Amino acid sequence: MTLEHVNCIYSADTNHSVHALKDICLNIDDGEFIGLIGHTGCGKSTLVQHLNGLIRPTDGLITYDGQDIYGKGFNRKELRGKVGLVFQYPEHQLFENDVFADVCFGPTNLGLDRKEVELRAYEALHAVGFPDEDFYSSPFELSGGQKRRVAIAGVLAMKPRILILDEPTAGLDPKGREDILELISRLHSENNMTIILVSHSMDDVAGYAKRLIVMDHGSIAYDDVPQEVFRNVRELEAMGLALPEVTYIMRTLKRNGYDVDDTLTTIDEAVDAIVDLYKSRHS
Amino acid sequence: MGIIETRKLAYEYIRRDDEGNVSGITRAVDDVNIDVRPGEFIAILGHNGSGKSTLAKQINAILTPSEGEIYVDGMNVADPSKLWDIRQRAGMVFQNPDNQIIGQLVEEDVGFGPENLGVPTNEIWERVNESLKMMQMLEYSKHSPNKLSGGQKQRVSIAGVLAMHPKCIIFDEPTAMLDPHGRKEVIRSARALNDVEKITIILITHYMEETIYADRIFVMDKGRIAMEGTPKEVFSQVEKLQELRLGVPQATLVAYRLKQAGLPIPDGILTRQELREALKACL
Repeated sequence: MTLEHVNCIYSADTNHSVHALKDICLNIDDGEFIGLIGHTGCGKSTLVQHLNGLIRPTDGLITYDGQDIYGKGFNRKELRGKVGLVFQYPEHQLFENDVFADVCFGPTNLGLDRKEVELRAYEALHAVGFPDEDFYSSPFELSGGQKRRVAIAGVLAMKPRILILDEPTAGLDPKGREDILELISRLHSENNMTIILVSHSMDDVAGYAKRLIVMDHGSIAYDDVPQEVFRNVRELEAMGLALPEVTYIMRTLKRNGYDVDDTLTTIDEAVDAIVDLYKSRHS
Repeated sequence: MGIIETRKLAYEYIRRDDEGNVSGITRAVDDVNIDVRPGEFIAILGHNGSGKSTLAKQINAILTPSEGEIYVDGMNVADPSKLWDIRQRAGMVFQNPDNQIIGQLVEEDVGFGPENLGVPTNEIWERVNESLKMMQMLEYSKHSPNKLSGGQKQRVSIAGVLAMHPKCIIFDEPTAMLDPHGRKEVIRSARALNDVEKITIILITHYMEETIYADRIFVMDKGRIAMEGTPKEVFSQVEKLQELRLGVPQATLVAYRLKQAGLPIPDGILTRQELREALKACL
């Protein structure tokens, strides 16, 4: 998927116009795991809604598999199956009487036959680790984390190549957050699905994403591997963002004269580094 | 007498089928006995569905207990004649700022509470200005709330509660939808109200880092209080918290893992500064 010089202006030609996306150029390859970060109102959600054709850019070109998604004869309905978007608090969109029927809704709309729809719904519920015995429960009787799994399964059942998740861990308890992130990571590694994880928590994305795109005021501020992006501490903080807590810990140690790598982002890396340091000083 | 006291408090959600017969009962709060002293800062942790919000809603008389009693500033919440006094005394700030802001202008929104209490007009404006000043939002008093950032909106919500001159404020996951900067703003405000104005704070959250300055932490599980103590006491029990689907602050987790790896690190580390000091002592 590519975006070339994409601009989006809300309420153009009025005095309330908002320039939500400014000259965005982006290339997304098959099988990437991207973290899309930015403070509230930076344009993240507007950007992802452009990717599956929900919002039409004011100007610029968006292509999927080399084809202009607003070109003549391009099937945007099919695109929405290929580029699956899981909105914020997706459980608010559950509406059917039972879980299974809810997950069937997406593939049914793609015009598939009954057998294929049910097969996909079954596969998708399995993929998110949803227990068989609850397939016919009302989605409204489930816990927050389970509801969110059902909502994600509803998108997976359309067999997307690109899965975009907007703040998928918001409002979940720590274990629930970890479970959802593990699920996303598994979809990526086992099915080679392209993942775009939208978040304002660096702690959430740091352990998983291999590429970070940071947005600020509608523009792309950084687009690089996480370790490189995290070098820009002051700039990120000025944008209302924070580094992963672990990185702050390592920076504190380095400032106090310890010879450690201050760009580490995960607990495992940090613990290993400090243990190595301890052993080298006590051997 | 405490500002909030519960005795054998219980709340049951009752599900009914189409004919109105009881089809299931969920005991969301079960035998809770707590005593909150005036001026305390209390944090409540617990996984999704552990009963935190149900407990909070009873303090504010949105729900009335199925069994047991709850007293707010000496008033029994089951007494309908005390309803408005209780809601004035114990204000509530919810998760989603967009669901609790109703005014066209910031100052109108903040004035809504005292107006409902029948406060004379002159005094309403005094209270509005004073509350907005406390939340450092006075310069926005003539702005439209929907143009503000998430953190600013939450501060307007808090100002709206403050204008009712409460003795206690209950925050139900006030930062779940905010970016890191907004989260900091809200937590800082809550701490300042506690420190300077001596308002009792009850903070419900899924972010462990936000609770390290609390006087006491209650951990809920299956509607009961499963753990209780100072942050140091509670976060020293890493394994027990993980069993309850919770975590510990990142600095605490690094310290715990280092200790497991054989480093002489004391229990009860909560911040990166404390971790730095502990490492200085042993490296």
